[in-house]
Amino acid sequence: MNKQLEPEVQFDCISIGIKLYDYFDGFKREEIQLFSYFSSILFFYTRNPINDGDWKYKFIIDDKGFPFSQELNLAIDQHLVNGHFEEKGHFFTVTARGMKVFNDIKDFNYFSNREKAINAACTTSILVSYEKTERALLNDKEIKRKVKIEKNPLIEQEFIYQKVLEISKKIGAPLDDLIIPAVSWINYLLLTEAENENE
Amino acid sequence: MNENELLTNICEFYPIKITRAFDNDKKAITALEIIGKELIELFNFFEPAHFKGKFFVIKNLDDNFILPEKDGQLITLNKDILLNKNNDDIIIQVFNDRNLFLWEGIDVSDFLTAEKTLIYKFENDKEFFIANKEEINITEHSYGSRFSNEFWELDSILNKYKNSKIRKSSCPIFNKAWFDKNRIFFKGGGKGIPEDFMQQSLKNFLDDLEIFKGEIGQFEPAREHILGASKPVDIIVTWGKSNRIALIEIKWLGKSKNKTGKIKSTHTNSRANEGCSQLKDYFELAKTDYPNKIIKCYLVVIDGRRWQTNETTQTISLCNGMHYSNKDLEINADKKYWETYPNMEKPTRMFVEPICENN
Repeated sequence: MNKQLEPEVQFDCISIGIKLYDYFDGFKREEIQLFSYFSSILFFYTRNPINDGDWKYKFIIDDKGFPFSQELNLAIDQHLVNGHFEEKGHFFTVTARGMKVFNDIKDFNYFSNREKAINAACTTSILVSYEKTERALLNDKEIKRKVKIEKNPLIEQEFIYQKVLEISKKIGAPLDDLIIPAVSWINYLLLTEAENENE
Repeated sequence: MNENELLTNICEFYPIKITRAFDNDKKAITALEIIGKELIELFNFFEPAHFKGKFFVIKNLDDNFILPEKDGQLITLNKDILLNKNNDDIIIQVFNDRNLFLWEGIDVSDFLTAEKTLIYKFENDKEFFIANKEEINITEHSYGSRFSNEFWELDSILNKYKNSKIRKSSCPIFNKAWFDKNRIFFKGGGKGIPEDFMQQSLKNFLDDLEIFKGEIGQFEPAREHILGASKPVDIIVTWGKSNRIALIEIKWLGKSKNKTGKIKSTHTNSRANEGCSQLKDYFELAKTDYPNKIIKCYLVVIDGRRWQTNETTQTISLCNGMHYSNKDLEINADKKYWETYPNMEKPTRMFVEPICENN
């Protein structure tokens, strides 16, 4: 808890939390992790490598098969301690204070590309459905393959991004938009899911 | 599936079809995003499965009014007026600033062919997008909307509960409701026996589901109403943000025995009819207590009926044990409230199999 967290990870955490709360009435730790991971892949679309650098934190695959970042986990704890999130049964919700904090920072230019990526990732869960988005991301063939070889492997986001980009280009998706690449990628994972199971 | 088939399938997905219908205009993607988010918000006040008219949400790509502004009503801050809409055709236009205008009683042909406009349509439990005059079916559930599936999800969960926990008495809490190991008689004779086991079993099942975001509790009618209700409804599920509550009443059919092995109660088909009436009463109370909530009422009937049993029965043949397995409940015409009230679901019968003798 004493570790100084980067502002990016705190921003991602509250931005995703608010969207999942808005759309689905609550969220869990692993859902914040999952959507941050998906956002980190889409972020490559937007980033200016000179100004934006990288996503700032990495993910491993945890024992339950979810992407996990220790920094993000600490950020969730910090938002709970600061009263931005609160626990309600099995789920977290965002408090009025949390909403205010996000409203104060959401338009900072510094976070704008992260916000675009987060928005696309979370909007996918509306357009495709939350259950399917989660299932698709967790059953990604590359992730499953890595888990078989290694315990808690590190996810190579850029490698997955290249595949998202390839699919987007092949279907002729507009390159200045994130939502169509995001929903196409999820759809691709769902369509290939059955084939993966048979392998 | 080869690569071409895969790509063709991806392109059949509705967001991509919409974008293509508008020649990859980025404003179409924004319109889709805005409508999707707005539907989630609007369905906090409006249950499509209860609605008998046509419901449209439209977004003009250039943010112009599609219908005369003077005939519309700004509802951005009072979406709750949708709570009591059940029949009339409703048209809502959403704007980039998330303002919402409502029109009623408009001829739909006035806007269905509007240029540069994305239209969402809900009618008869089917949903569509109309993109540049191309109708795209996006129906995913047998009723209601893919953008608001609380009741549909609860229905699916009850079915799952029936098959995975009740049919074979696989739930250890429910299993305690049986008097005998062959599951011929329920326990009876104590306060809340065997009902408490059944209620607790379903509560635990809902509580343990990681995906289920409803909150489980008990319906406590306001003080003046408890005088009219013989007992509280068994389970209430509330969804905080989506403004919905579900009332679940559980009834059981079959025979129960007290500790000494005497038949305590015999509950027949008429018990299901009583349950229908009771649930309708709860619905009326709940409407008064929760005037701003969207309510759905479920009657769960645990069917433990066995054919030709008496106090001395200890084993049962397959034929007698399964006699009622496919016999649906007979609900009197005046108790079929689900035919009149969209808020009342048809009873869900859950037959529980006994352990039968080898034939």
